[in-house]
Amino acid sequence: MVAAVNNNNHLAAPQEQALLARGEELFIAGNYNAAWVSFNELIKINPNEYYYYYMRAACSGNQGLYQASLADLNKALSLAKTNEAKGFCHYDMAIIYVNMGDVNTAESHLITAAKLGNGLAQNICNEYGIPY
Amino acid sequence: MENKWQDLLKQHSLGMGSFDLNNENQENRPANEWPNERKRKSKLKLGLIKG
Repeated sequence: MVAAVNNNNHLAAPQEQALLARGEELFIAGNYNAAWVSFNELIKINPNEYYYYYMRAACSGNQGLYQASLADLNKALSLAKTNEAKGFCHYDMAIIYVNMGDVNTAESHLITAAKLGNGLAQNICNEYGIPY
Repeated sequence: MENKWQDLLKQHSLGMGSFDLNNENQENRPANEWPNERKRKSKLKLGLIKG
């Protein structure tokens, strides 16, 4: 049984850990296409881990593939168990929608992220006078 | 000032939130100082994933 890796209480299988390490390294290096492949494989191994959808969404979105990214973020949101994780998803949705030119939806997700305690979203809301 | 927050968001990369898990550097950081890609920390490097 492969365990989730979402927090300190979960243990990942060695294969899963290695793939995650590879994916994160590729992502940090900006190699989003290769990182996408790693997170796609991780989803096959563990389809219930929100983080893998979240990261695959980031790989797609950072390449301008916004619809694919939104689909994965919605899946991640459905699996996320903590406000922190949900805040990450809403914050990234805000980024995508603002890049798509949908400012109202972007603001809605930004406010939701801030309400969930996302520090980045709160900083922006505070700095630009957006109530949350 | 109009549209400033939108411009700021456009500069942000997706997925960065997960690399700043405890928000430790976010509280006092002006919004326009984020992101600093080189400050990213992976979950693995933070020791949050155990073998």
